[in-house]
Amino acid sequence: MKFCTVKQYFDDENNNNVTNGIATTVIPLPNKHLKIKANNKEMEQYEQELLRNVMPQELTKLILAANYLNFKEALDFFCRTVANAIQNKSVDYVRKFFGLESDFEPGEEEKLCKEFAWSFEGVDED
Amino acid sequence: MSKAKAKAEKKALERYEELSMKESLNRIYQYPIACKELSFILRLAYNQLPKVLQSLIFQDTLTAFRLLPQMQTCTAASAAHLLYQSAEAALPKQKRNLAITEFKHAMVAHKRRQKAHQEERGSAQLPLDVLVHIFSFLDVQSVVSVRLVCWSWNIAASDNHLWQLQYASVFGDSENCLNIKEHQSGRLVEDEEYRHLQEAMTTRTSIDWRGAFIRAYIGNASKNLTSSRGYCLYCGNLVWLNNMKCSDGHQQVTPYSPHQVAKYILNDSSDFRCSSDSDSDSDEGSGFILWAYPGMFLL
Repeated sequence: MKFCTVKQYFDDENNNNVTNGIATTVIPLPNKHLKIKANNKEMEQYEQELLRNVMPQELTKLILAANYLNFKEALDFFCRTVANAIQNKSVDYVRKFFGLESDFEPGEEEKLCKEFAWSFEGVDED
Repeated sequence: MSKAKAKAEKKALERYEELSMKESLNRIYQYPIACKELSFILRLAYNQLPKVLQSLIFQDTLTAFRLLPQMQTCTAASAAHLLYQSAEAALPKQKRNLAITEFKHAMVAHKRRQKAHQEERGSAQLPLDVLVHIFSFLDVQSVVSVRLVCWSWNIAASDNHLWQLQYASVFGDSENCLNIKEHQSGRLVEDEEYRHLQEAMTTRTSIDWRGAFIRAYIGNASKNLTSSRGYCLYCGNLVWLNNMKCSDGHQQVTPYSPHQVAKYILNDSSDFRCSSDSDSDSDEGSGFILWAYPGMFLL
């Protein structure tokens, strides 16, 4: 049932959403998941490895692929990995991580900052 | 021309030059405002101004249009559109046609650049629901800071359902709310707030969860939402907390300041099992943080 979208993907030639490379990473995941389901520590290790080997751009592509394939476990897994990577990090770090640019006007950013001023304690400068 | 009129015209010219319109237009955060200023000048003053000034204004209008492709924000595009409408209404025929042509070229280039920019980042652009899903794994502090990354992330981080999850996770179910009521000096606030929420939930009116979260947080000054150390009653030892819960999800935790942690190491842990939230250290600490920013909750 999970793979009905995959079948569709293979039938559909003209697909921009998922490149072949990504498909080879995402699809073997269910097997891997079943193996390490019980073992949380291995999961952490796998996560760390994934983060090290895979650039943020790749990670976002993986997320998009998992989203397109409607593959909930993989999507959760990748999203959690990303969330752990940006948890408690400074705004600049997150921007660099994803290669995003601020499209705020300076006044707007300050205003947003003030709204929740109390929460900006203890953030990693990283 | 009378002396008075000449003087007035000179004054107008000086004042316009004070605006340094060209420099302002070049700055992305001043561009929309500069465009709006030009729009108003065109509509209200253009006719009465000396020819010299009129041609300056016209040149600046053209500059504004030429700079539009570089200004990749929506406010820039709408401000430029406003300027175009004013130019159409106020300029004499020849100048008007030139301005219209310039604007049309600018819009085409603007859209083309936007598309290229999007495609470049296209693979890295995450859809809104995926972003919200990622944020649902974050603690409150991270959600708040992630709002500042860019506009689409801001929108995702303001998602109502996301804040409902955060509210439930931090201020919890009815059991936790009762505990809060007992320990808090602001308990009257909490009571009303809780009743209001319950009422809203039963009548299915839509709740602004982000607002509710902030109100509940104000009434709960001693809670520290960042990751901190605490004593988990269930696990029976010190743990790192995430959103005031033990990492295994247990809710009965008591936050510990570093001072308390040191004492804990020296003493028997049973002394600390009943330690309430009203420990002077942590109260003073977070109380100070709140009072240091008066008026910050004015949203």
